Amino acid sequence: MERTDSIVGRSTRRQLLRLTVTGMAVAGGATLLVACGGGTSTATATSSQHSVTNSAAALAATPTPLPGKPTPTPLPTPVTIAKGAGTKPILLWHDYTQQYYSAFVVLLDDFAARYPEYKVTAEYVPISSGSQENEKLITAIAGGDPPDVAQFDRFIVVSFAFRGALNDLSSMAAKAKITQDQYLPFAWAEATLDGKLYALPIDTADMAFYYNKTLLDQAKIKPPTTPEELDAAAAKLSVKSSTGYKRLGFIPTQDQGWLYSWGWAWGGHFYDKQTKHVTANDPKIVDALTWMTGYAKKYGEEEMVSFQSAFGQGAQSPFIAGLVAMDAIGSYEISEIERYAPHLDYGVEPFPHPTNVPPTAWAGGLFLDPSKGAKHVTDGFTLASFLTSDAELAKFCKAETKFPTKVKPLQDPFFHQGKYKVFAQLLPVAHNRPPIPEGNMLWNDLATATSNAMYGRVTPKAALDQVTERVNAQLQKDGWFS
Amino acid sequence: MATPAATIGSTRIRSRGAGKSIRRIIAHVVLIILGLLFTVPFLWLLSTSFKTDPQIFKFPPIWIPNPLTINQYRLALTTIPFFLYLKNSLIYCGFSVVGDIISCSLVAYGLARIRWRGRDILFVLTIATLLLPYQVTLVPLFIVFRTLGWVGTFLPLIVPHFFGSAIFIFLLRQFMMTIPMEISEAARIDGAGELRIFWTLILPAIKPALFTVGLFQFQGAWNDFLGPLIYLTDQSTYTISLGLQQYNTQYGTEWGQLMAASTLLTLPIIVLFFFTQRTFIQGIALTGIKG
Repeated sequence: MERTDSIVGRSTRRQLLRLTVTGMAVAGGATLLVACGGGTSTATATSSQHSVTNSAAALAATPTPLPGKPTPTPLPTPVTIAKGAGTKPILLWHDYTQQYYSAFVVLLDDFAARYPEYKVTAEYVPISSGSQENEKLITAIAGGDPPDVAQFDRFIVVSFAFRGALNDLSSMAAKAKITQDQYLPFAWAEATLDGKLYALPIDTADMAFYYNKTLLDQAKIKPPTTPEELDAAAAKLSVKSSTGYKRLGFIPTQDQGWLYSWGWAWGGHFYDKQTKHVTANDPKIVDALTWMTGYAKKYGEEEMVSFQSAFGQGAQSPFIAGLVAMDAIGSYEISEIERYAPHLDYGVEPFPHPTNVPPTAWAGGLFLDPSKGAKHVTDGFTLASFLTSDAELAKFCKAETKFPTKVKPLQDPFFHQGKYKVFAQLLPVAHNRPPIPEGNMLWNDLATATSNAMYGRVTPKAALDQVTERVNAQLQKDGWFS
Repeated sequence: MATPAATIGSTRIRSRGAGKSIRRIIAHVVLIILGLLFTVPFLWLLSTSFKTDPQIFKFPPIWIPNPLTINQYRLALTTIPFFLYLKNSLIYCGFSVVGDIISCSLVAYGLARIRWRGRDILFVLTIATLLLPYQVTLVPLFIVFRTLGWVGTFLPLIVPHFFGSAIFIFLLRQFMMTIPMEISEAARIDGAGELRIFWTLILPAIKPALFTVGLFQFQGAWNDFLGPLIYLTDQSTYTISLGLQQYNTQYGTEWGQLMAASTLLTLPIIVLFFFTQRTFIQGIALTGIKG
């Protein structure tokens, strides 16, 4: 009986296998046929191109959504698109997708209308998840075949420029009347090296302090503005059961709770511009880290880490799930909350900070840059400067619910509405990560030092002394200072 | 009528039998529970692909979507040229698998079944290439392919596979060495040439290993991100590993769309594995490679 069953099973399985293999063969054959028919992919490209142009025009005609409101259905991110009917080619690499892509296409249409002599080919070049390095750009620059304009993270501008991978744009910028005073200080600082401009900042997002209004109201707590108020609120809002924490009032390392956030909030400086040395062991940063370790001691680092491990960043944040009452997050979280937790009642304030220190924030963002070795550097710069002009930048940032890095577009009342207001007000005083060739190393070392101090393996002072010593030694090796 | 001794004996046998089946039931229950635990991520993937955005990160998690929507599938398939990327991935996977199977088995045959001077040195050199990180050879290789005018085509991704991959050569060589040399010698006495021995005797004997090579390479090419990223310049040639990145935005992820696309991509692989697991596991067990 068992044997018959098994034989029946085997024959059924064989039939199924035959079916699957046949199906796969048919699919594979069809695929190969499609692959061999060169015209098909062109046809796809062309139809996508048409649909992009039409939808882009439609999008441009619709009123811009309010910040934080659900964004319109995104345009398809199609195969490589070409904009403009001119003869002068410009190759652009970007990593805009979804609604950001839709907004970007509108700008490319504007460029085609303003500069009909150009033909812009825009290629989507993804960046590995969790990475700020653009492997393709690095390889292309090293291999001598970079695009005319590339978009990338501001974090790596100085690192690239110091190693000779970017063009000095100063003279072209002077001709185009692009000056420092047009930009927010943090953005300009990250784009320059030794007074020379190497990239044009585009958009930005800064960090602030989110709190769950419902939970704070229930506990009759006002949004904290100082570390002491924050500690008291966190204690009151944390709920522990026999199996562990059911809710935590606050976790200093959650989301954007990097040492950068708290070090600056405490009034510390991570870098000395005059001596070009990293100063991660600034006493105020040591104070900030000591304060963070206080949470590890009170709530248990193991318990906090195990609580955090069930969640992630962004839409996966425990703040969105209502399981952390207060959190350090970026302005981009507003639209994530609108989508993934539309009923969450929350507020935004600057980071709690000692009373003798003014409120502050820090920001990151993206750049456009004609890379070293590009075939059409001047034309690339023309495109980059057009895309970052006041009007285009404002249009782009409104559609993608991010902030412009320039002073004038940021004054637009649009960016000062609702919960975005706090972020917009903080941008002019926002910090930038130290513009040094070893920005990545400093970031990683600070994260390791924070973790070691939180686990009590080393004192905050010793951990930060070590970071300072290590990164400065590497900078000296690089020839950053003698 | 059974004697008392016989009754005791049969009771013992019965109780031993009962004990055995209880142990078996317990083992099955434990295995079923463990099996279910392993399916949790897939079930979450499947469930999330039918959720609306606000349901995705609800805590405690929602397992049965309400309302249930297929909108994530619609968006996943329309916001990126999903099937175009899928087709490109299949081209890359298919040709690289064929390339590796042909070249690696031939090279492995030469290293395992024919005695010639310098064979072992060449084998060590081949294995030594495994020590070179991909990043080290990235730029020089890019320059080579750019000079050949291959950047922007599938050629830099596919052609190298027709020249062998060290790990697969090693795997097949070890496998071939387990086949008794007498078989080849007998064939040689009968007048068979090396290619004939390779084709008629060795290839059928190493089928499980070839299957493993094929599956590993298929999986490798399917998941390869860096290769297509570096060498493909026209988006119409992008593979699905690059395409999936388009569900990420600078500050977030289109979770619903990503889950829908991942479900579509996972299902065929699960079905394929279901039918081929015996050969796959056999190949892994015989070659001693753990996945």
